[in-house]
Amino acid sequence: MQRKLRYGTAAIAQGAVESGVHLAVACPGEVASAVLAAAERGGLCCASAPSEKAALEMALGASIGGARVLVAVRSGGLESSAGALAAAAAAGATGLAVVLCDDPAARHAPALDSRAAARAAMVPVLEPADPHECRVMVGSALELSERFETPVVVRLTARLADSAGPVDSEPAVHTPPRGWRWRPPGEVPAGQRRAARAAAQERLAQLAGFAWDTPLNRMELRSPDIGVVTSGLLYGMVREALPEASVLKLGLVHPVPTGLVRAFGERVRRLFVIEEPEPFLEQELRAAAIACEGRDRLTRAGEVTPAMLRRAFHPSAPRHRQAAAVPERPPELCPGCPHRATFSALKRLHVTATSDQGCAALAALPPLSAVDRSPALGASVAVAWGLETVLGDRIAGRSVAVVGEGALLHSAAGALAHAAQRPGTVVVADNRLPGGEGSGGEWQGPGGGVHAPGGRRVDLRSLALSLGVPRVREVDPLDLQGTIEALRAELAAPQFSVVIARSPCARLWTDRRARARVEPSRCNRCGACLRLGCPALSDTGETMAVDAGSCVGCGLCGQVCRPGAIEREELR
Amino acid sequence: MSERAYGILLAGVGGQEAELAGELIARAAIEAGLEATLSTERPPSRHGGSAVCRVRIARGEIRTPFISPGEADLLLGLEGLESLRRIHEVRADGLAVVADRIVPTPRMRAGLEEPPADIPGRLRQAVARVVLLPLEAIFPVPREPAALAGAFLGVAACLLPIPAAAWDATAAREGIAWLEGLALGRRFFEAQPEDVRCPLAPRAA
Ligand code: SF4
Ligand code: SF4
Repeated sequence: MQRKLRYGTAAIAQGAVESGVHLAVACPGEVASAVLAAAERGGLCCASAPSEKAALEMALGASIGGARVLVAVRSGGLESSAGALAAAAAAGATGLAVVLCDDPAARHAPALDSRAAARAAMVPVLEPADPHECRVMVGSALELSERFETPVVVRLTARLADSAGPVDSEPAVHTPPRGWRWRPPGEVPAGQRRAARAAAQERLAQLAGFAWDTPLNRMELRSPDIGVVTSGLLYGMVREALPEASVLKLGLVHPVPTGLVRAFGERVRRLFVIEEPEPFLEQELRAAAIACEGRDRLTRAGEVTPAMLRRAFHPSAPRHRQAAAVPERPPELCPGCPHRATFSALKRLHVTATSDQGCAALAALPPLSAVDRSPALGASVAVAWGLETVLGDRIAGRSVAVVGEGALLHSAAGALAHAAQRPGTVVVADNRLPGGEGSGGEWQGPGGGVHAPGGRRVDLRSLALSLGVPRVREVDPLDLQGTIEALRAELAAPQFSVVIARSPCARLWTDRRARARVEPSRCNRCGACLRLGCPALSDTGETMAVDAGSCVGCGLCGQVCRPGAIEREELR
Repeated sequence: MSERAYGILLAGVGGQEAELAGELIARAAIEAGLEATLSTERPPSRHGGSAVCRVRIARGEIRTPFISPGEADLLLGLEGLESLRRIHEVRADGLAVVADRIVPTPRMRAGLEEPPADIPGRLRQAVARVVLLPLEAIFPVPREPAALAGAFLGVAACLLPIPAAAWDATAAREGIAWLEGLALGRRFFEAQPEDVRCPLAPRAA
């Protein structure tokens, strides 16, 4: 048996490989992409989906076909696809594990608690405590799914996905899919829908019984003074902060095993619940009339930290040392990022820019400060429509929605068809490589399609035209003046228009051909170049300097330098 | 069980390979038959933000990958400002080995903010032992981030109970730059005075 250091995401993929998963599907996004990339390295058949909803439905199809399927969902992705999860549950999907990642500290997604979404869909939830359990619980989820005929959620939190520990490995199981399994369709007539709901309730009742003695839940009796109910990676934190406490470690957190908790509570004097980000278990226990203490003890919602536990349970312990006041170092757009060019053009036109999330949203940070709103993935087109509807003439010709090519296919295409019925301007940021790969990570959205067998690139111009957009034009955002002129013309046009800003993501386009160089004798230190916020440019106090190691020679700074102090140096 | 665990904190800027250096330390420990965990805060560091990696190494069970503030034994600081940001996470009697470089923040690049004055002095106020790692002296020719990060592996190799062979094998698998950095970092740290090189005394896991 081999032991290897693995991140939580890679351990999930390893578990899938070892459990004989036939297909892994994900809509690309932080954690989902990492799981899919690791699954692909492990030799699994992988598919990229345009949205979480599509991923779940693709998985449901495979499950109905008798396969074992893993779906990876980005943080916050289940909330936008809860209907698809409920439909998979109603269809009695088997062999379907849904891995998702909550982000209690809201570092890269809203701090939603997907246990609530899973409860609404009447789907059981498992929570691994470390990377080793990530691997094991994928197998448990698939077995439960097959036994109880329901999708099973495996819930990670961001810190678990980003933690690594030793993980054992076992040989992969290779079994062919069990084949097509016919069930009377539960989705069509209302009576059958009610029957499906009753079946889901019955399933949860059976699972609650199963929760009594499953090794997924573990009662560790130590001191009777304090009993803690916890799950996920908080288990280890509790063990370290409160080594004497009795602990009920829940691996199956929904349905909440209230009977087991009650039995545990009878053996301890005080019962605490430690969870994040919301008091989900606590509320369930209170609803079952089990007295417990929880969030009020830790004083706030969100992520639980070791320091918080220490303060809550050892108030007399010496205080931790305080962090020094140090200038912030926020994330930035990469050197040469085409989003910087697109948003520079929009800033020069003084428009209200509604952006997509992801990299583009970083254009909101100073010194670029060019994004007014970036509410959610794929939301920009619809949000800008609402804004323009109520503000009318006050904003007409001065509002632009920016949407990434992946987000357009994820959830903005319908809104684009709607918006196209009246004047307006949308920029589609197409950062794919000429071959098709998209931006932002190894596993890309549908625009790229490189991972689909024989994958074809979605032609954004044809897509926009077929959605009823009357005017479509393409620009190279790194041609700043050309982009400004094109946008100015489209904003003034009487019809709706889409401007496709096409230039590859700097992270993917690594073939450097040039770099910038400042000629100090011509630099008057006006600072125009610095206002682009390129990490490769800095003010030395006497002149501006280009960091030769990070400049990719995109040429943007040279275009804003009026005295012509920034020259382009060909590298070959 | 109260095994002793080493807490190692790596602080740097996205792109300096702090996370991968932490991963290699943990891998070397596992290769040597020890337990190791690590935790990172990935997303911001992908775009040049603060990068941090916390590694714990022990002979027995490690309950959690997290290190409470003030409980890390060793800070490997790949950049000065980020080291100052994290120094409170190190024990007062701990050791900080910090590169003598500062990567300006976006506001500093734009001339809107100055770097804090006397970073080494402030580090020394916070922990008992501070060693500045002179990058230009160790690498007279500019090298890629992996080589520079590799030098911190060399420092860790002098301080942790992991055989040299495990370090070499782990670094070699990642590439020649890591291996070179490892050797140079080791040579640098072995030349430090005895009181600086004294072994770490880890706390309970
Ligand atoms: S050319 Fe200018 S803007 Fe482009 S990456 Fe280099 S320094 Fe940055
Ligand atoms: S825009 Fe040109 S002249 Fe102005 S500071 Fe930048 S390099 Fe110097």
